[in-house]
Amino acid sequence: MMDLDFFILGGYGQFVWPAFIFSFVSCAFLFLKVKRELQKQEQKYLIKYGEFETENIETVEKTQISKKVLSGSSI
Amino acid sequence: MFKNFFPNKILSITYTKINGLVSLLIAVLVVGLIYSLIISPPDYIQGDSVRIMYVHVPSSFLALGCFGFIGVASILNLIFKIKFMPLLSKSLAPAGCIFAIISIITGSLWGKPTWGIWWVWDARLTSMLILLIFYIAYILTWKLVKSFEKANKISSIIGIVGLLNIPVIKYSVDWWNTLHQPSSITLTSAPTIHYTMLIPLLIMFLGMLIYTLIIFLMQYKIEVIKFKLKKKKYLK
Repeated sequence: MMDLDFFILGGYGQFVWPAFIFSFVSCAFLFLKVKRELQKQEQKYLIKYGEFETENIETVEKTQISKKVLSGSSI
Repeated sequence: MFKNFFPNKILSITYTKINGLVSLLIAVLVVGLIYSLIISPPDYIQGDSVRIMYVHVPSSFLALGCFGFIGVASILNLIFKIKFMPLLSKSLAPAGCIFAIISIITGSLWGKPTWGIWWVWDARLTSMLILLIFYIAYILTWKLVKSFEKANKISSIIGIVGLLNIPVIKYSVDWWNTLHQPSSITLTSAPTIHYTMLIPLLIMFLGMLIYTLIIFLMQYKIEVIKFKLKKKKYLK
């Protein structure tokens, strides 16, 4: 049997629970909204440019030739 | 560290990294909630209604902190014209705004059993409401003003004017007679709150800080992508 005192909280449950629930629902709402928007924008970007520029930079940095060129560079 | 906020760098933020932060957030929140709702003792005067503090105080701190950052970034933006500064501030506004709303609503829910009233036009509550209005004005400026340069200028002015409200919120309980209690935690002196209440408060603060970081990173990536789609050369 569940402990009812945990929900009643000395008579303050009617204030404490809505405070926690409101906080978490609003945070979850913003998170889902932002995540959906991010997915939408990423889709648009990929349609226009194919891939993110950082992927190119990371690929260039990882390749052997680039490493040799960069290590021999005086800059 | 500053380099990580360069627009091209933020594009490398993947869902794996964000999901990692979300997992950390869930772990911190579970511990925080167990402490807040079960382990921490009720207050000897306020009883269990004091548990509202564990969501009210961290959200108020973060609402103030986010706008503090927006205000300082607005000044830097107007003086030094750092190109990605407006995008950084713009990305922090939604999380700050939601925390301002949470702070006001949970404060109201705490006020009813403590003061016997949902709302009172005293200095702390009114200045917090003004902060929320600044957040709304800041967000709406970016939404409604189509020209980037114009929106940047107007939002920077809102950020700077809103920054003046931050010390008013902070010191309102000292400057005026208010129903709101004085701060229990300050940077200059030891906290007047018992450690059994301080621990859950800090854990919940950490959780909300991680949440702010997650929203900020996702929103910043959105802003950079939107900007690159519209005006690619500006950020290169």
